[in-house]
Amino acid sequence: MKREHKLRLVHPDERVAFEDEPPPSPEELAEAEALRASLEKGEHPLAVVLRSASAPASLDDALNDALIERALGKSEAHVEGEDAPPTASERAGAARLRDALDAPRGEERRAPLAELAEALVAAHEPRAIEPLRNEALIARALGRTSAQPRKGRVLSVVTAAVVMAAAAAAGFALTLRPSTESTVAEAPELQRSRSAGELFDTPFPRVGGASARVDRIAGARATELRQNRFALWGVR
Amino acid sequence: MTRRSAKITIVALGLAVMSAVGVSCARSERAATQPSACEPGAAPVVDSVLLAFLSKARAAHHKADLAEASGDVARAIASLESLTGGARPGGATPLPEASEVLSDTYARLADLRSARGEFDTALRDVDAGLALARETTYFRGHLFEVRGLVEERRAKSLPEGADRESARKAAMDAFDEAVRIQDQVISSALDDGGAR
Repeated sequence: MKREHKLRLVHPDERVAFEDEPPPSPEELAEAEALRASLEKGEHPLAVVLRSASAPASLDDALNDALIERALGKSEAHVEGEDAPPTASERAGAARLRDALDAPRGEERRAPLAELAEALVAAHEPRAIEPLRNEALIARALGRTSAQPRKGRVLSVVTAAVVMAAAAAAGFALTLRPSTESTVAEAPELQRSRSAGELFDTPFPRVGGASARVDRIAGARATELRQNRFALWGVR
Repeated sequence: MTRRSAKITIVALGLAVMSAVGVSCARSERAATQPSACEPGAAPVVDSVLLAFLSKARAAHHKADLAEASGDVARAIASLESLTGGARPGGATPLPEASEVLSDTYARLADLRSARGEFDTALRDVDAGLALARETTYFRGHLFEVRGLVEERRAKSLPEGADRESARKAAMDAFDEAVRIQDQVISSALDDGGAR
């Protein structure tokens, strides 16, 4: 307002008109009517403040006592104590915090201290992490994308298959090598099974001597077995 | 190549080397125990299986010695039968040494049984031994010698008559065959330069 006006008392039913201002438009009248209705219903914040000032409601007895004790400085000991009765605002805050903690995970935490409370609960008794989230965290920690490991796995399988095929081919090659190059070529140097007649110079006695003959055969072949083993081991 | 694929490749290479070495070792072991397909008719080499059989034969014969020394012929026979009735290296066609040891064992069984008057069983032992000792060796000659001994004992057990004469003749024939075989063995040894 650029121009100054003198203040005076006005009766509620009196319509005030300013000489130097145009009459209110229908839109302004409608807006004023809506504000008036809101004030009468108490929905407007200004209405709450004005109503509390003009006609304050009675306090809760417990809250009233707490406020009096706090104002008189008598409640310092109780404020810090666990037995201090909660105020209405404290109960309301506690209810909001409880509702926030009970809400499903992922929802926005609007209540104050809800995030801190959730962190404390997680630190004290952590819940099991979902498998998919766990996998995502591991993948992100290893610094790979979801597509890279699949490609690497395919390459690994192909590489392993090729190497195993080469191993099989090498094994068959070792098996099918010509006898002149294989260990079979060393077989003629090994002592072979044959008649033990060469161990005896004379005919056997008519009766007896069987144990002595077996002893001689077993002793000779035991020596040859050792020679065969040394030959296979490459010991000459 | 990622670290994961590198690890898998290293493991695969290790398996490849192990399998190749295993194949090679298995091939060597086969070559050491029996002839390969590239060596038709080659005799098996002396191996631990043959030695195990010979060890068992030594134990059976020495156990029979102790039994005989104590006069327990039945136990001696049972000890020898554990050898003839057991497994043989080579199965149905035993290795040469196994065949000769078994034939010698049958000869000893025949001697023990004929000493007890069990002449028919003793002759069956001789036949079993001859089936194993088919080559001209001291072992085959010894079996004919034992057959002559069995028939000689039978003849002595019989009264004068046709049966006794028949047994005596069988004994003479067996001894003749034994002498013929031993002569062949001796001649063969002399043809080799008398190395034995």
